[in-house]
Amino acid sequence: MTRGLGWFAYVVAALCVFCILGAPNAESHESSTSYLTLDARADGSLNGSLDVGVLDLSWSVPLDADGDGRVLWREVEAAQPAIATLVADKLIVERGGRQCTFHVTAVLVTRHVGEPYLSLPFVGRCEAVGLLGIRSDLFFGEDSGHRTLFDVRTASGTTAGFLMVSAREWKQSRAPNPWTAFAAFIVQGIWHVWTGYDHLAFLLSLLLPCALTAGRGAWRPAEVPKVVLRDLLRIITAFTVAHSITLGLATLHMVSVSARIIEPLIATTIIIAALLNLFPKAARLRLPLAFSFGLIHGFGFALALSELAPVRGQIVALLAGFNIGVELAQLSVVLLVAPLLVLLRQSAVYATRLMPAASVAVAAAGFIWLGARLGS
Amino acid sequence: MNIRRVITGVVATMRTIALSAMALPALVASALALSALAASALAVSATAEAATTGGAAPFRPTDPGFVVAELPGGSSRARDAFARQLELSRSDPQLAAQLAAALLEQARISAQPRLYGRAESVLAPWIARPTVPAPLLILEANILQQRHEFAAAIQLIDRATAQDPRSGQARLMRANVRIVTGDYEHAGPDCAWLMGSRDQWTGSVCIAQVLGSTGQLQRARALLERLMADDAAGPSGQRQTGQGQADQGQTDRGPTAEVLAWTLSVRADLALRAGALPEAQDMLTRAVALAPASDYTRLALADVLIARNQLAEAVKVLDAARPSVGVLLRRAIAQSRTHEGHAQDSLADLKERLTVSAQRGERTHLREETRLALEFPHDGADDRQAALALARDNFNLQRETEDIRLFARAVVGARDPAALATLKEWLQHSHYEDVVVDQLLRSGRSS
Repeated sequence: MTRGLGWFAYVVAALCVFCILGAPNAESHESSTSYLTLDARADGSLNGSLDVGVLDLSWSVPLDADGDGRVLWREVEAAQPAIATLVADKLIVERGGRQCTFHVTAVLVTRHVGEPYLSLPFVGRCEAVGLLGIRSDLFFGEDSGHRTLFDVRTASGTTAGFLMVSAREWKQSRAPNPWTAFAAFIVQGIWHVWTGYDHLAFLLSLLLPCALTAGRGAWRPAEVPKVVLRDLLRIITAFTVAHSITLGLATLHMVSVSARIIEPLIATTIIIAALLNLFPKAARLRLPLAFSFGLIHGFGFALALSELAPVRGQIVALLAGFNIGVELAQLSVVLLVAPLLVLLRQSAVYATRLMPAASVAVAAAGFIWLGARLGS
Repeated sequence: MNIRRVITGVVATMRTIALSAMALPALVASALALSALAASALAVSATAEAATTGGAAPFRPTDPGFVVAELPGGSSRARDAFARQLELSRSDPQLAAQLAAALLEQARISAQPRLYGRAESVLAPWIARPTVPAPLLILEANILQQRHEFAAAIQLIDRATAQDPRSGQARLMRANVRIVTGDYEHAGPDCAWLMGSRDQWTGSVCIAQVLGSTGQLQRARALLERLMADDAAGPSGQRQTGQGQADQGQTDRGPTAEVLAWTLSVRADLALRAGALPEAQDMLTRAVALAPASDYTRLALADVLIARNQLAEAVKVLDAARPSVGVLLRRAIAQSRTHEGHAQDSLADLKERLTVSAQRGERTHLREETRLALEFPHDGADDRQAALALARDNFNLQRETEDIRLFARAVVGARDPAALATLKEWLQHSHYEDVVVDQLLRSGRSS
């Protein structure tokens, strides 16, 4: 290699010691950055915008027609067709393996990190479903430091990331199998009831009198098993409908009630339901109580679900799975309790001693929980 | 009785509901349908407020003469010329080197990081080849170390020195990258090589940096003092301000102004670690005067002024610099201490830049992020842990004076025994000296 005034001199000129020392001075915020937002909806519509630096764009599209070093709005307006063509050529959006069609609808002025930008809103159409993909060839050729920061929104959630010279494409990763999440939440629902002693206690206090019928101010054994089962089913159904309603509403943020109110209320429902078992005359209240208290317990389920699934993606599957899990757990309790009730109903001790004693025990537990929840 | 009738009514309704849906599956299905309906409504309302990433609200100017942007040297003719040269450089390595070097020089002078990206575009097709001319490797390495990709930069320089063992620039760059990352052991041989070359000045500054971080701080200071004293006594005559004709930092007429400024900033750094703040301030003031284009020395000077509580002076120095992340951070610090000016504005601007940088997947601002977390905490154990995590990452990336001080501050603030052990072990192993770090560790022990 020849030294002296050959091309090496140019190289050395740039490699002054301050360039080398200058690492702390290396600023990147003014590196070339574009901002892409995309919103692909389930109806096949595509909305988005691409914000590009005027400086970057000026290297691809003549923006300074008169060459005075200033970009005027009228120059931008004149360049709008060229800008739209550039974006259409270099930015590719696809969904489900098919390229989306879109066009730039306007050119607006904006700023990012203090630098002048043009904002290019666009509309178009994609496949209604499928995985989304982006590819951009904008500015990478002229500037290897360019990044296109994207923010993509589909029905399954939002994703942010960036495209760079060595990775100009981004493809939405296959969403986790919805059935997996669904199954997981069924298990969570079952688990919540089985390990959530308060729901079990409430169910128990509702179920205990099902083996009995109230007549003339006293509990009497139900005559046939069919009556026991029908009674069970009605109570459980009322409870289920009610808590499904509030679980749904609360999970979808349509209604919100603080845990500080709901938790003590649930304890109160247990106390009331258990104590009412001591009064055969109140038997007719059991069905409306099962329903109205079910509404309260639904909020409790929603609280548990919100702790399990803080993100809102796939909320329908998660909600459904969790609810089904809760119902399955309830069903298992009923299947366990029902044969016992059918067997025990004829025993005189059940109506006069066992049932009231169990109810009082449940009520006592309810009082303890109430105290603990109000105290905390 | 009315209440009774109401209750009877409710019970009857419930019975109807119950009887009409005797099976649980049917119930669950209806609950699901309800949920799905509500969820889709929710999804629609959520998409209506589509996300926008930062930036000002876009608008359409009404005045055709509205100035959208000023293009620094970016007229269409310049653009066309660049495009043409870029095209030609694809087949001409000499032109590629010239073009990239010119862009890097312009990037340095105008402090436009965008130009590093352009220079890299010029080099990209060449770097991808199996054999790359050494000058192109060195240029690419320079870009990489600007992006704090130190390991990758070292790799390229290794390739370049294998091709051209006599390249002083490659040696100097490699030594500096290693000093920045705290690898003094491996920096030594390159510094020694430079000492033995024609460019003893650069070699001396290089060696002084290594000595100063490996237990011989005073010796390093004396070495550079003598170097500059000899130069002042010698027939140096007029300073050169450019370095276009110089293939090394030293010419027949002594070091260039920029090399002298670099030397002064190294001396100031050593002085700071010895606790000699007034001396450091004096040296940095001289360095800024010698190399007014360098914001690096301005930031260092501002730090000394902040440390000496000369806040108004610090702001004045920062005002002369381009509003970079480093400048904004120091301005916010100075403003928040004087309660004058708009610290909040500087902070908001700073945070926006740091956010974009993070979104770009870069880690060039770890040092500033760490200092931001330490200077403007929100009071909480979590914050101290977050600051420590940043400081640790930064310490693992680079180990200049400020990086080590920030790590020490974070370690003491978070009272983390493991991190403290890491720091102490490194200090003992390298024999690194800094009065500020010692003071921090003492205060950590006493509290």
